[in-house]
Amino acid sequence: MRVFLLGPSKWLPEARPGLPDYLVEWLPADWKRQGADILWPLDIRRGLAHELEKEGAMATMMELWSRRPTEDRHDLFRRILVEFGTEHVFAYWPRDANLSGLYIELGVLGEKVKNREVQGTSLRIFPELGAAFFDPDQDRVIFRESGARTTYSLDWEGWGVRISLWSDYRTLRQMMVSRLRTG
Amino acid sequence: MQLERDPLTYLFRSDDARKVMAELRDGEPHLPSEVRRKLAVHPQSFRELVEHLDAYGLVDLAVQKGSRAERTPQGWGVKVVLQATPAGLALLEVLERATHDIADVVHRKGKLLPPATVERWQEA
Repeated sequence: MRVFLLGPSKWLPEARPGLPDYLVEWLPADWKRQGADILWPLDIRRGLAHELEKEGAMATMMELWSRRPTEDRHDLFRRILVEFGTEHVFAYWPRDANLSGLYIELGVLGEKVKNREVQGTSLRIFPELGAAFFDPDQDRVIFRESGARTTYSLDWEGWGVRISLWSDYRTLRQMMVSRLRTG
Repeated sequence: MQLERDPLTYLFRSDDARKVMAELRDGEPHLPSEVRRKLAVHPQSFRELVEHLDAYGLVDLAVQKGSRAERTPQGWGVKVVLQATPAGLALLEVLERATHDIADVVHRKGKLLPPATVERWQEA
C-alpha cells in the first residue's frame, strides 16, 4: 500500500494545541523536529507516516522528496502521485493549523482527478473534531471556515471522497491503519 | 478515547453499534439522518458511534455524488452518506452467526445456565 500524506506544516500564529506526549514516540529516530517546545503539524504528519510504515505501508509526504533542478512544486506533486504509485491520499486536517498549503494541494489534486491525470487513487480527509463536525440531522460534514474563502478545495463532487472525523490521535492512527488494511 | 482492540468485541458490547451496522447491511449508501432517526439515537451518541465504527474501518462517511460545498451558518458543508464497508459487512455476518449459535446453545442448555444469561440470549 502506498500512501501520500498531505496536511499542514505549521500551527496558526499563537495557537498552542494540547498534544498528547505519545506523539513524540511516533517520530522516527532520524527526524529533526520542527518545533522545539511543541510538535508542529509537519512533525505529527511525519510521525503518522512512520506509524503507517510500521504497519507495512509505504507512506510518504512531499517534504521527504527533493525537487529536481527543473521541477517546481506542482511537478513534484505530480511525480509523487504518479512515480510513487500513490494508491491512497490521506489528508491530515487538524484544528488550529495553517491550512492554506493543504487547500492548494487539494485544489491541485482535484484538477488532476478532473483531467484524468490521476485515476484509481482514493482520497480520504481526516478532519479533527473542531476543525469540522458531522451533523447527522443535516447529512453534512461542516468545515469551520470563516470569511468568504472560495471552496474549490472542498469541491469533491464526483471524486468518491471519504471523510473520517477523529477526536484524538490514537483514533486517527487507528482510522488510517484500518483503511490501509481494508481499503 | 481508547477503543477495544477487536471490533467484534466492541460490537458485542455496544447494542447501538450493532443496530447501526444492521441498518447498513445492504451495503448501499444511506442518509445518516434516516439511520439516526430510525434507531432513535441521540445526535451526539450517533456521532460517536460513527466515529468508533469508522475507526475500525466498518463504515464510511462518503461525500454524496453530485454534492457541492455549500455555505452554512457554521462553515462550509458537504453532503455525506453513510455506508458499511466490505469489512463491516463481513464482521456483521460473523456477529450475526455467532449470535445465532450462542442463542441456540443457550436455548438447549437453558436449565443449566444463570437466568440472566438465558434472558439475555433469548432476546437475541
